[in-house]
Parts: sequence; structure tokens; C-alpha cells
Amino acid sequence: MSTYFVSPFNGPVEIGLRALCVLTTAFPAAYALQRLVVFDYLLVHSDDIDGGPEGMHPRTPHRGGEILVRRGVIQDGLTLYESRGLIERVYKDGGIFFAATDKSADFLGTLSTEYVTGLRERADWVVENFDALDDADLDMLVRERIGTWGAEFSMESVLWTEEAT
Amino acid sequence: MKFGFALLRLSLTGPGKAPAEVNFARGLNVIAGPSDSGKSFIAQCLDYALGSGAAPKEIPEAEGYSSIVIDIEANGDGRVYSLERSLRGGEVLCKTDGQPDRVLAAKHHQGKEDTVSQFLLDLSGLGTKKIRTNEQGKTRPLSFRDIARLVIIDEETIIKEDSPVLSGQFTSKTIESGVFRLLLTGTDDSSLIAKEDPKVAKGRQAGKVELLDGLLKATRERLAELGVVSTLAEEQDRLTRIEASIQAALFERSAAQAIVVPLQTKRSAAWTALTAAESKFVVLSELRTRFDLLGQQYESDLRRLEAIAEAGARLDQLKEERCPMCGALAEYQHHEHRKAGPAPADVSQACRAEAAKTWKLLQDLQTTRAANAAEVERLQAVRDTRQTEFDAIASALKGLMERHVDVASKKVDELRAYAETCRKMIEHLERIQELEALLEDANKLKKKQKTEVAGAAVSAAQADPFSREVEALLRAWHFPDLDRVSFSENDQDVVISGRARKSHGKGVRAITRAAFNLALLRLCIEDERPFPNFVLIDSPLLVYEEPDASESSFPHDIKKHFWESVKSSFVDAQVIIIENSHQLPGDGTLDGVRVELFTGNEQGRMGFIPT
Repeated sequence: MSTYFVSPFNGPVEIGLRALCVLTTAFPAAYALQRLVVFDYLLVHSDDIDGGPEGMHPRTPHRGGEILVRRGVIQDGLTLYESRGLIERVYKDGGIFFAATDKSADFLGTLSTEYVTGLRERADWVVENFDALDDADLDMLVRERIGTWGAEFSMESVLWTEEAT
Repeated sequence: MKFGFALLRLSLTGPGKAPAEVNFARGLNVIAGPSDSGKSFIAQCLDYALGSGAAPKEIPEAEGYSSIVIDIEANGDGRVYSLERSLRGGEVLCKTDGQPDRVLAAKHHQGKEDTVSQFLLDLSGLGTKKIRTNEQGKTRPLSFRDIARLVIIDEETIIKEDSPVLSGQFTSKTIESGVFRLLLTGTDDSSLIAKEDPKVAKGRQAGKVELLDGLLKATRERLAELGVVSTLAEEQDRLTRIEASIQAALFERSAAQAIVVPLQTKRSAAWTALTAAESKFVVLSELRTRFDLLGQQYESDLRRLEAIAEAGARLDQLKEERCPMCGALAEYQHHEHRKAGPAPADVSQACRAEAAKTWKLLQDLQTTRAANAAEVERLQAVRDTRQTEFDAIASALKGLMERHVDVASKKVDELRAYAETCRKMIEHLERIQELEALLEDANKLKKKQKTEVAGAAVSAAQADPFSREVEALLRAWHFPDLDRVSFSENDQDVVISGRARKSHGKGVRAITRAAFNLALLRLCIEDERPFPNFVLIDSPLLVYEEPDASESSFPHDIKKHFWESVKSSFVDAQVIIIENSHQLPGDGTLDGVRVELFTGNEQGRMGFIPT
């Protein structure tokens, strides 16, 4: 099975796990893919929102771009967890939505790492704060802030200049 | 000889009367006779025929005579003219061969050509001349009457004290001097442009004075605003001193600046050092932030790897209900999909290996972070030291600047301000001086005009050739104690041997008067100047006979030399001397000279008018 490179980070296992945390908190509500993409970002970079809890991931430069490239991986993650009966796909008038199952909470209960604990806490915060926002408002929020997320590294160019001289 | 004319004949005619005639030749002519033989009457008749306003004095002998006729010969072309004038006045009839008779007005009229005056002036070459009439330079054409005074000298005129040039009338002084100057220099006043009327000029002058006064007052006020003022020279002196002080102050300032230079260099070096330290400190501080971030990343990664490993393992324990590829339920799976991704178990295993590597990296990072932190701390200390050093130097420099350079600069500025004020004062003072000069000129205007009157007179320099001519004649006449003859601009007369002509007794005055007029004739002949070129003198010698109290010794051979000289000096021209027969030399000096002798008795010709 090790015939190709395995990137552990942001693979279907991890990303699906994060989506599961969110959907489990939101259960029995079902979220569209785009909402899951945004909530995934907010889950790990909760400190990018004023008053949010400490971020699970460091505040790396240009991290705002993550939100644009996660869509495919999240779909893979959702499918992986769906195959184990932890997420189900709901077809409605508004399109395809994803929801947790009645097994999801138990599954998460078996996980004991610090990271998962952190994720579940933040999932509570995200759902509590952003569940009420409709899709349009959520898009607006992202569009307005995406440029500022990770732009705090103003000295980066200085660093490079100093090294060059 | 181009100019002038000679008198050929003078005759007095009347109906039924035998004409009274005298004929004349070129050179010296003498009419001699005792008193009352009509000698002076001849002079009067001639003058009258030449356009004089005064008719000859009525004498009993002339009763019944009505006209005077003179024949004159032009020197230029030799043409003979006959001029006839009634004794009762009126015009002059001019006749000449081959031309129609002309009537010439006796009175001179400006711009009128048919006058006897214009006729004679044309013959004399003076037809177009103009003469100045007043102080302002107004001019009028010359009249023959202006000239007649200098060529016909009667027995009363000859002893006058006044200058031969002047008639003694104050109002005609300008004209008379002008005529004399014209004859001496050939320059008339036709180029003169009349000056403004004095009244207009006076009004203009008053306006000018008022304007200048106003300007002067304004300038003085502006000057007073500048403060206490001394004289122009003092202010100029002061400016020179201030400028010297400015130079000194500038020098001081440069010296002060030189003192500061080393400290400025030091400050510059300290600034460079401070900036370098600061830069390094900032870079390493930034690096520390990066290290911290990397540490957080490692720690975050470790937590994630742990969570993924666990989640992967748990997932693996769950049976697949749906195809992980297409999401189909197990009972519907066809297992045709190739596995696109790793199984969760493999992921879990990989994560554990990755965590081990990351842990190692985190350890290394901790070491590096510690080293960097120490360096940052050290650089901060260095930077603080540099900052302190720089502050100290900057403060010292500021103090030094304040003590030396600023003081010197302030002094320079102050001095420059003084100099500026001083310059303004000088400017105003100069302006005042200028205005005062202009004002003085404006006030002087009238005086100046007065001096211009004197300018119309003949100057000693202009008369110099004439003076020498007079001197030559008097020398030829053996005039006693003769030294130099000069011309007095003031008197418009000659000064003989340092003594004014008018100061002599009338005997000497008469002789020297003859010398004056004859010298003018000679000068005009020699220089070929326009002139009538004939002179009539009545009684130049007679009064010399009478002893004069003021003349101590007076030799009588002067008469003999007079006749000889006049006879030989005026051969081409015409000189008519009327004299008492006693004054004629008896030794043959006058041989060859036309002498008309009236005897006053039955022997010979008794008088001018036949009885």
C-alpha cells in the first residue's frame, strides 16, 4: 500500500474528521459543501475571528488561501467517512447536503487525542456563531476577510532584503 | 573783391538848379573844407540816399533842391546803379542800364524784397542773414541800417564814449552786438531757435519747483522713518564699517563651524553604528517570530498526526458500509474501483512515523530558538548602547552649535539687517541730494537766462583778429605808447594798452574810433567777408587839435602817419574822409588821392552847393 507518497496532513482522514466534528455538533442539520469548506477554515483558524478561541493551527502567512484549495480534499474526506457510515449524503431541493449519522457521536467519543478535543470545542463555537448565517452572508464574510488572513507578516520582505545584503 | 560797392557820385538836384555834385574814386577820398562849407551835409545826404530815416538837416544853401541821386558801383559785377530819393521822403528809385527801373521802399520791411535795405544788403553779401533781437533768441532778418552805423560815422558820433558797435540804446544792445559778431565771424543767428516766453517758463519753473519740493519732502519723511540719520558721507562710512564687521562675523561663523565638524563626523559614525545594530536586531527579532511560528507549527503537526493516527486506526476498525470511492452501499459494491487513496490504517501508520520525525525537528528548533533568543538579547543591548552613545554626541553637538555657531549666525544676520537699513538711508540721502541739486537748478533758471544775454555779446576771443587789426592800424599811425590792443566783452569796445577807449579824451576817442571802423573794413577785405566795403568818416582828426587835459603829451605827427596809412591800406575799397582843411598834410602825402577841397571863399570851389 506504500507505493505512493502519503501526505498525512489535510488528507481525507484528517479533513473528513474535521467535517465530522462540525456535522456532529450540528446534528441533525445538513450542510452544503461550501459551508463545510468555510467552517473547516474557521475551525482551525478560530483566532482569525475577533473573540474566537485560540487557533488550532499556527498563523502562517497567506493562510487565507487555504480556503480556496480545500474543496476537493473535503469531498474526498466526506466520501471516506460516508463509506464507514459516519456521514450521510442528503439530496434536497437546494442540492447535495451532508449530515452526521446517529453513529457519529459515538465514533468521536472513542477518540481521545488533544487535537480532537480541541476540534470538538471549536466545532461547538463555529456552529454556535455561524450556523445562523445564510450562505450569502457567509460568502460575504469570507470575501471581506480572506485578504487579511495571513497578511500580518509585513516584515517578510524585510527579512529577504536583509539576507540579500 | 566780391562784396560791397563803391560810391561814384553824389548829386543834389532841383528844378532849375545847377546840380551839386561830388565824385568819388576807389581808395581814399578826402573832402576838406572849413566849417559850414557843407561837408557834413554830404554825409547826411549819402546816409539818406542809402535809406536812413532822417532827412539831411535843412540848410539855407540847399533850398530849392528836391532830390538826392547817388551812383554806386557793385564790387561783384561792376554794374552801376543810380539811386534817387526825394528830400521830402518816400521811396527810392533804382536805375541801372539794361534793366527796368525799380522802386525800392526806403523803409526796411521784414520779408519784403523791394527795399533799399535788401538791395544794399544783397550787394554786401549779407542778404540772407538773421539777427537775434532779444534774450530769448528771437530773430529778425538783418537790415542795412544795422550796418550803416558801422560804415557812415558822422562828426557827432565819432567822439562818443560808447562802443562803436553800440548805439547807446539798451534795448538794441543785443542786435548791435549780434551785427558786430556777424561781421567778425560770419556767423549769424539764423540757427537760433526762439526760447520760451519768460512768463510761460516762469510758470513751468514754479510747477517744477513745487514738484521737486514735494518729492524732497516725501523722501525726507521716508528717511526719518529709518531712524536717526547723519550725513551721506557718515552713512557711507558706517556702511563700510558694517560690511567689514559682516566679513569678520562670517569668518567667526566659519571658525565656529570648523569647531563643530569633528563632532558632526562622530555623530554621523554613531548614527551609522546605531542603524546597523538596529537593523540586525530587527532582523533577528523577526527571525525569532518565525522560529516561534515554526515551533507552533511542529507542535500543531504533532497533535494533528496523533489525532489522524487514532482516527485512521478507528476508521479501519469500522467495516465499509459504502464504497469509499462512489459511496455505494456494500451490498451494491462492484469492486471495480481501483483504490485511489491509501487506506486509513496506512495513513495511521505513516502518521506515527511522521510524528517521530517532527518531534526530532522540534528538538532541533528549540536549540536554535534558544541561540537566537540570546543573540537578540545581545543585539538589543548593543543597540541600546549605540543609542545612548548617539544621544550623547547629538546632545553635545547641539550644545556646541548653540554656544558657537548659532551665536555667530545670529550676529551675521543682525549685521546684515543693519547694513540693509544703512543702504536704504544712503539711497534716500542720495536721492535728496539729487533732488536738491535739481531744485537749485530750477531756482537758478532765471539767473541763467541773464547770463545768456552776455553770451550774445562778442567775446574777446571772437574779436581777437579784429583787435590785432586795430593794433596794426594804430601802430602804423604811430599811436603814442602803444602796447597791446584787446577787446573788452563787457564794453564791446577795444582796450588800448590796457586802457579802455572810452576813458580817453574826445580827441583820442575820435582817432581810435576811426581806427575801430577802418580796422573792421580791413578785416572784412582781408578775410573776404560780406561787407559794404566802404567807410565814410567825418572829422577823425579835428578835435585832436584841441588840447586835452587828461592827455599829458600828445605827438602831432600821428596825423601825417594817419593819412599815409589810410591812403595805402584801402586801395581796392573805398574810404571817404571828411575833414577840416587844416588837418590835411601839406607835404604831398595826399598826392594821387581824390581830394575835394572847399575853400569857403571865392577862390576855387566854395562849398558843396554851388551858389
